[in-house]
Amino acid sequence: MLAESALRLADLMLRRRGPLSTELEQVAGGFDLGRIPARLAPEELRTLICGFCSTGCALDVHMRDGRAVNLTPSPAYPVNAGMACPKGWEALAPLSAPDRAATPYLRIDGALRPVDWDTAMRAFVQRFRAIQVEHGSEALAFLSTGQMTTEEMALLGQVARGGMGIDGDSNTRQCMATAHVAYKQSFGFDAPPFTYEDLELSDVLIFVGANPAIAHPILWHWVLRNRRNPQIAVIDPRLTETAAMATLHVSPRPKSDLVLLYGLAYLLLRRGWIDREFVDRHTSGFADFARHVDAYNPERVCSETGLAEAQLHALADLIRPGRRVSFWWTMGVNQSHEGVRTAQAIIDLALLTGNIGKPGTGANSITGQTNAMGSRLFSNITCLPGGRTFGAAQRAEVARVLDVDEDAVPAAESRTYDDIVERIREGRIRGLWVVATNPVHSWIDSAGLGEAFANLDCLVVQDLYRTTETAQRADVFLPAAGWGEKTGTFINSERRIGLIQKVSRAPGAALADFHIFRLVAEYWGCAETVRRWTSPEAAFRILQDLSAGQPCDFSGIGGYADLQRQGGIQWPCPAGTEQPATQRRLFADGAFFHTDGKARFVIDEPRPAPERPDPTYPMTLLSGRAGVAQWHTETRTAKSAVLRKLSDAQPYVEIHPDDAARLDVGAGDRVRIVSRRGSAIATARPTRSIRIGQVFMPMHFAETNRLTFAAFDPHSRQPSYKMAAVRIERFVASRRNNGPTRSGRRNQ
Amino acid sequence: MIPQPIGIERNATLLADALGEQQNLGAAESFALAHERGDIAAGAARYRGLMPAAPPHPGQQYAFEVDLDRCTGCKACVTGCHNRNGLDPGETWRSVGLLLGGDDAQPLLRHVTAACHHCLDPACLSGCPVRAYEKDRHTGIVRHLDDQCIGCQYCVMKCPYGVPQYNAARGIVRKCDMCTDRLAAGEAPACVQSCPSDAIRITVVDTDLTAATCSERFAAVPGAPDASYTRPTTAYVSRSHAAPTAIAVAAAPAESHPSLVVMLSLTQAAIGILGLAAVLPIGDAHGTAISLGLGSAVAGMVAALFHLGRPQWAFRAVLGLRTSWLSREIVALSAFAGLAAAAALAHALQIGGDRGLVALTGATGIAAAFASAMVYRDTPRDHWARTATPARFFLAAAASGAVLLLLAHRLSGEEIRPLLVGVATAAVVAKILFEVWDGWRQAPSTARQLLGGALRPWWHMRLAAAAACAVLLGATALIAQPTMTTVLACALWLAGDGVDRHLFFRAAVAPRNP
Repeated sequence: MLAESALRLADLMLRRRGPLSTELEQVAGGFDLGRIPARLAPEELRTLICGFCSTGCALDVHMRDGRAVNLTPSPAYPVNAGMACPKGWEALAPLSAPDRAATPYLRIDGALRPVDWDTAMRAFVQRFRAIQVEHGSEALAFLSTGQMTTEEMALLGQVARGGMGIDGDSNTRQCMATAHVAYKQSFGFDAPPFTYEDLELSDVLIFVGANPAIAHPILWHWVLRNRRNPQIAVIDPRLTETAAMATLHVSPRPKSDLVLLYGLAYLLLRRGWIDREFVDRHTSGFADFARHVDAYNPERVCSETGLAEAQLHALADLIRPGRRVSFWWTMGVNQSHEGVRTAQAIIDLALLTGNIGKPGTGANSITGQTNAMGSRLFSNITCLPGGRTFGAAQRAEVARVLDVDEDAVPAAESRTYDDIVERIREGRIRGLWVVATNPVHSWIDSAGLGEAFANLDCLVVQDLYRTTETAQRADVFLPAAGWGEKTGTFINSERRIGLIQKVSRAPGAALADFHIFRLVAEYWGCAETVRRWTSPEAAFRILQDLSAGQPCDFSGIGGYADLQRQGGIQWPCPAGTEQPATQRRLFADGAFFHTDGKARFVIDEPRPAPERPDPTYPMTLLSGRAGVAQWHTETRTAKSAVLRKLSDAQPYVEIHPDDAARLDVGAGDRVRIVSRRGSAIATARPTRSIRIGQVFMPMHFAETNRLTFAAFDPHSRQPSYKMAAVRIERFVASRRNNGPTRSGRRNQ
Repeated sequence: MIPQPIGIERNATLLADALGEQQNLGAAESFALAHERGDIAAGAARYRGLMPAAPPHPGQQYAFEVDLDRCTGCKACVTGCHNRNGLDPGETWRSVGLLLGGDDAQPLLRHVTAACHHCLDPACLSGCPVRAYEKDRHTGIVRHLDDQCIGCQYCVMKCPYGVPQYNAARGIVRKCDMCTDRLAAGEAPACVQSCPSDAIRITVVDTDLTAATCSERFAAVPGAPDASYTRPTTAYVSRSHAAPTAIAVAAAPAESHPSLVVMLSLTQAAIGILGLAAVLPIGDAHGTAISLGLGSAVAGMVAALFHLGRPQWAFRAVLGLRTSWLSREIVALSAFAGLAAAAALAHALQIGGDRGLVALTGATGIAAAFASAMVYRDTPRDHWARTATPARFFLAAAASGAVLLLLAHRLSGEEIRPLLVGVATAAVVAKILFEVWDGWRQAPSTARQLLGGALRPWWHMRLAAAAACAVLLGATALIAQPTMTTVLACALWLAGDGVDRHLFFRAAVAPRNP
């Protein structure tokens, strides 16, 4: 009795275990998970491809009591082998954000008010019809995304372009249009040739305008697994995280990369380091190419790029015969006023040296958004479904597969994003339907765009959140179900088709984009053109039929269950394919997709960037991805408390310490960045990772695109986000606001 | 004119079907993993090379080792830890810092992942007033006993690396336990499993590492806190010899703790008035002085309870007496308040001995003020870890006590004696001069920058209150019945002293992991 009381007293004084510590106590969770908190032990795992970037990692969502309670990266998936970046780890958090829309909204007397679906759809259709009657179909447009499933993109393309007869573009124009055009012209089809294993099998990896360590962390994982002691070169004006880990970093002047690449070809030709047999058998246009690059001697190249001759030779030294050389590019190339030709200069180097079709080689575009690849093939914007060019025969073929009239198949490419935005600014487009994208933040030179959007006769926004910069201006808001609340497929950078599925219930009356598109067709009165699109899996079968006979043929996939069983399947996978290998690259046989079977050398004269520094705006503004925890305009990543903690809350600008000293600006001081378009306030971050005369701002802050200069690649119409002339001024605040702007929390 | 959409009923059916399908999460809809999988973590084969061959022998313990050349700053370790350990929304036990530096030829960009360093002399453990930390005898892991914690957050102030995280919703601190459960099962910690770059490994180190060795193991991380304070066990490895000089970023003000501001100001005022009452001739104001002192002490200690996440377990604070200044402060202040209550009782019952009790109370109070000062002095925050901290607290006690004593005099109807006005004025002026001298000249540069920058409005407020108080004190000598003036002077002084304590917290930038 006494002992018991003493024990209880002792426990009162020193409690080693109790409800708080059991909260975190672990059990063996089964499912190869190892130990996990007992309260989160799953009853079932459901595998989904991550919905952020194009790496296409698979995530196992832990289901307990019919709810998604946690997730871990899939250990057996060939892409990510148990790894994920913070966005993937936090993929469930955006679903339960408090600003998820649970009902449609309609702007009534200036304010968005909740309405039911029928009211919203009628308003949408009637207002669009009214605009159409008054101003014609060209006064209507849609802007969509690389974040939906391929089934949804294809359905949107069919409903909007085929059924409603309106033009539209997708935000993949902002990231991948250049690669799409470059491949199409060079290879005869938009066919990224590589498989991720090539990162592991290369002797030399050359990254041009790419920062995979931060932008595609799980791809970088493949590089780290390379056991061939690889040489890694990074061509980038900034010392990025990738450049910091490279064996060679060269930083040419911004937008001088085309000259640099031609200069490399010059050196390789001089040294005879080319694969003449491959060039003769599998390419066309070599003679013109050789003549063209003959003008790019080291003297010229060094003077135009600002590099030392030794750096140029060091780069060329890497590409010696006998080595497996792979070239990788991302937005540094794509987002340029001459991005297509720059991408093709990379392709030219791979063709010249025969570094294609073999393990550890390739001219490889790393894609941006999770399903940009699906968009490129099936969104019905720059090509007919399945990557078909616009032509009478192709149109007839598509109409036959879809079982619709040829009238319901578009006859030409759609108007491009920049054209649509210009027409909105001019008041020529009066009705706009925005699906899962946030152009008021993300579009280049966005100053004043919000007002232009607000002046539309009808702005329909379809999104998860009512709070995006674009959604706030909507006249009709349609609540969408998100990743994790719907079923469908994505295609990743290496052409791997993977599955997403439901793990969570959409809030209230939110609907999958797939459902919404079917409703639009029904209300618009064009449901006949999408009669067969009854479910995502039915749509997938249609896509398979559309792909049959095309280079991207995946008619051999046995439906969703097969994708799940095999862990994603790369195209091509034509009918009759038995159990395809997990890692497959294209062009092993040297057969390209042009009718002559050859790849083409494509060349052009480099052009100076349209806006360059001058005495009034003496510095160059670069923009790009800054951290792993932020995604684009942050509509989703900002919903996760952990991701917020892992990123900067306030806009900042990287500046060379010498430039900072000249402006009398210290770390953490505020500066004003001024361009001809607008100005922005940001915190200075002096670092020697940026060159003197250049500054860098992350694209995740809306301020950045008020400064950018709207230049476009003439072939891809992709915006050149990474080159604008600016001036930096020390920002003198009133005394009241004199405190440091850096947030108190850690830069974790 | 506008064509009406056709088939209203079909619309309704389609809509109903869509809404129904959208909410269906059933098995028929899913492609759940068909095969059963086992209890062993899937990455086991991969991370085996990142684990020690055998558990620590006696005289050894586990430690983190980070290969900085492999750390890309992807922060998967932070989220992997968060998910695999089932932490609360926004709660993170690992962090990744960024060091920028180098020169133009070799600019430096270095990400540094860090968690608890499972120190050999853990300051969290020695500072904890309730013994909620223990260092495991076999593994060396510094574990936090969540159910023992009272949420005083002193460990947050004690840790030079900013490791313990206060979880306000639960009212306790939580921290990295190196995945003790996993290690015991032969499984790698969550961060090791989640790192795509294999940058984090677990090693075994000897427990007799010297401070110099510990410091060397941090050499690749410039600006890291002085390793001699806790002897951290983490090793940062890099093949790069370029010792980077990080670019300093202006620090943001630290967190304030309003309850502690009130507690410190009021308990020191109480200590001052009772201490002065024991030595100054105050005549019939004696009883009022005791009451005012007791009232301040009790109010201050009640305010302190609001600081605690779980005040109901505050009595556990007696456990830490041997190592924790916070424990000593709590015990000494309790004794002080108890003695003040006894003195008040003795005075009220007129049983005598209250003068002796006041003297004893005053002496205990001085010990308590000393303990209070040592609570802050004994931390790695350079603004606090100075003799200036006891000086600040004792000067505050003297000034607040003297001002309160004037009030006691007025309230008890006594004539104000010039001596008391003189003492009060002198103490007030001394305290203000000290604050100005310290804030402008003596305090560490980070604190001075904050006081001159972000905290300047507060600083101005403090000086204005002090000036007004001084004017009022002068007035008390001239006015015949200066009750209101004295009350006002007292209120202004205590408010201004509170602002000083607020600045004391906000200007003390905490060292932390990179």
